[in-house]
Amino acid sequence: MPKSEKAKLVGESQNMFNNKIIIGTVMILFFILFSVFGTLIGPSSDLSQDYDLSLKPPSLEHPFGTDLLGRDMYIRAVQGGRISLLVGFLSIIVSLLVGLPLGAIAGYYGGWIDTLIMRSADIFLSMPTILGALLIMALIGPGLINILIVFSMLGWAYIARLFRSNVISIKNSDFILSARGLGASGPRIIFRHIAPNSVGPVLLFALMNIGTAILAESVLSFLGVGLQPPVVSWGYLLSESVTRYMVAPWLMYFPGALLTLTVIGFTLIGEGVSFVFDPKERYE
Amino acid sequence: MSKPLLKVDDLSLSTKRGKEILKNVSLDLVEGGSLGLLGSSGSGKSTLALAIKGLTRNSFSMSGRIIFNGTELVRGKIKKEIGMIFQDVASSINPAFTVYDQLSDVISESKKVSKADARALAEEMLINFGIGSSSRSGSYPHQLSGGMKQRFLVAMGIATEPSLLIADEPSSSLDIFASTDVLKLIDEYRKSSGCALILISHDLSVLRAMVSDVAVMDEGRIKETGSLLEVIDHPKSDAAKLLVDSELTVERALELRLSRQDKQADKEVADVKSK
Repeated sequence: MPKSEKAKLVGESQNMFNNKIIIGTVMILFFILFSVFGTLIGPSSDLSQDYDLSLKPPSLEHPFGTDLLGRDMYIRAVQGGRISLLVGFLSIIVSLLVGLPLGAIAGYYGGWIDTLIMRSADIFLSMPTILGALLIMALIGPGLINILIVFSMLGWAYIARLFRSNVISIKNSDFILSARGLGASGPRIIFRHIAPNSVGPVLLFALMNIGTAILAESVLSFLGVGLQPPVVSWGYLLSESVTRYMVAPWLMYFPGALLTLTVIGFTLIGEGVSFVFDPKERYE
Repeated sequence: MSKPLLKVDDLSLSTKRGKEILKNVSLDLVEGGSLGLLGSSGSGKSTLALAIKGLTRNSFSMSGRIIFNGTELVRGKIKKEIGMIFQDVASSINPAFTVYDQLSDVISESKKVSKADARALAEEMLINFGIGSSSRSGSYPHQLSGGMKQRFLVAMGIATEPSLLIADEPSSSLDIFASTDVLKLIDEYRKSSGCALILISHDLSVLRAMVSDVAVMDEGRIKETGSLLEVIDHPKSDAAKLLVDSELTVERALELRLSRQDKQADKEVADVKSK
């Protein structure tokens, strides 16, 4: 192959990592490092209660201020980040692992298997997420693991439904017919031909929903069926600040900013990923 | 006498709701032979081609037999010896991969060669087909012109070295130059490999250049078969007569032009008189 063509191929694969993915990944990596190692680099790692320090605004000693019990909000934000990111990541990963294969099978093969998978999905889709989560949490009890189970149970149905519709819109294209004509098997057609052309919007949806999962966890915690003290998350800290934000607005600012920036980071990665999966978009 | 290659015997195809798409279709093709499927849009030409390739929808009910190289084709079992060039250029190429990747994939699958060998063969083929010569082998389909896409489809169709090539209107969406290029590529492959050809078209001039026999289809039935010249010179069925009459030959174009000029002259005379 001539050198110029090889260079072009290499250049194209480099283009895959476009700016949005880079910025989003840097942001998320920063928040992951902040959550994992934040206590090591902060000015204090003490989370004891001290009523003398109750509701102190941000200072050099307590960069995020203190809460009503005088606890350092920076440390609480670091600890909250661990749980929030864990809930966001794991619930979406499990939803994708379950939803993508089921959506692909339902969309590609159709028939009774499609009916079975989609009617099962409909059961979960018929419930509003928070109400459904409340119902299931009331049955299985509060706690981190149960939150992950509930979000995965409710999340796969959206992924499966969305991916199925994308698969159906592509499976009747001539290039799929052509692949079948060349003897490609069902799984090969799904992985090699259908998935690269249809998974982009699903990944975008999933990545944008990491933020939604983080927020939904905070709602459940606020309603008392989610995390139980002393476990905290950014959502939990936000819900805690609701009654005090007039006198101590920093209680809301920092967890709110961390949550918002995390959601923006995931959204950027999602947009970048869908961009990577669309060669037309990438070259125009 | 040439060996029979394909025999379609009393093939009927209907939808779930009972709508008949193909009705008692029978045709024969010998090794190295060429057959044109002529008919208006919706007459069942493409469906027949898909049935021969084994790509009819599972929901369709099918009766009759398709015998290829002495073996009856089982529905859904794909014969790689039958190559196909699809009609719709825009949707026939996977948009997510470069044409180079797609062609080397097909070559490595069908010839069971190593990836490196397949890539080398794909590159050579793309250059021969005028796609790789201008740094385009690493291009995505949307970066190619219509003619290049169609040439790429021909390359994909013959990459498996089929003994029967079905080309579904391979030049209908192209300008005259690109169309000639594509037909030439198909013809060259036929000459070098001796493969048989089924060419679907409603363009008599294309069929004239490419095939010796023709089957005229209408409403899912074969209305007439015979040598191309025989059918064009002495069409027997209404469908064949209509298609032959609608061909825009040089004589017919001249007639149309003269009648238009006559009308223009009449108008000018009328204008002068009214003044």
